[in-house]
Amino acid sequence: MTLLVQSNFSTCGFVQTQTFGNTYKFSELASDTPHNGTDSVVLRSVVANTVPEPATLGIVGLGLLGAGLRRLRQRT
Amino acid sequence: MSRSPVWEWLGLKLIRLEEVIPNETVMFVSLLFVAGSSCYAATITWANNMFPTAPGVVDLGVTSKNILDDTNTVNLPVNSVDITNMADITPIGTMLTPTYIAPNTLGYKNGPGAERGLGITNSGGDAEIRNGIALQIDLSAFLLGTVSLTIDSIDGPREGYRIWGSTTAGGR
Repeated sequence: MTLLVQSNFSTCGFVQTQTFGNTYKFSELASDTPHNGTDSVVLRSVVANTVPEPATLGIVGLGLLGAGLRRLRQRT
Repeated sequence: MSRSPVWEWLGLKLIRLEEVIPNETVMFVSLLFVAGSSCYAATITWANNMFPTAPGVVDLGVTSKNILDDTNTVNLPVNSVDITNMADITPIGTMLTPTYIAPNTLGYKNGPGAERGLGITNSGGDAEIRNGIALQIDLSAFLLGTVSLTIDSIDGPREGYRIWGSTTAGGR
């Protein structure tokens, strides 16, 4: 695993949000100084922005759309 | 001498599309396919189910759990992991092959004050993530654009966090 982010000192009870790309499928949230028992955080939320399904359906649909338009033009 | 098509030689008949499907149907189906190709893009938020509604700490009693999103429809698997070889100070980009031992159980925290979130049970009894233990968030089931983690209870000046990324559940 690869270290992506580490926090700086902050104020009491502070909340921070970090955003990443899609390189990694697993994220490991840890305290920033693992051998110091007083360092501690919790995970408040996760927001995932999913991307559109690869255009398999779109390609099929565009092909059918083209065929339909061609037939309509031939009819007229 | 003309040669007959192969399909006629096999006893088959070539059927033209317009003989069996009306033009309007083709157009309708094609529009459905085009529209359907883009309807999977979405923003999924796991926030409300990251902490209990009642104040205090809840020990979930398990090291792995599916957390439902805010619409109670999409599960996010999370795992408690205990990594024994995580160094104290490492620069961004450091790669680590983690050594795991038996993890503690997951826990929810709601308070004191506004501090709330998902963590891991520990000797301090507050279910916060500390001492080399880590919360692994499994997003492998999702076709991601970006992902945002919000971390709470960062009590200064000493507390803070690290976020590691891996391509496998084993930390590789």
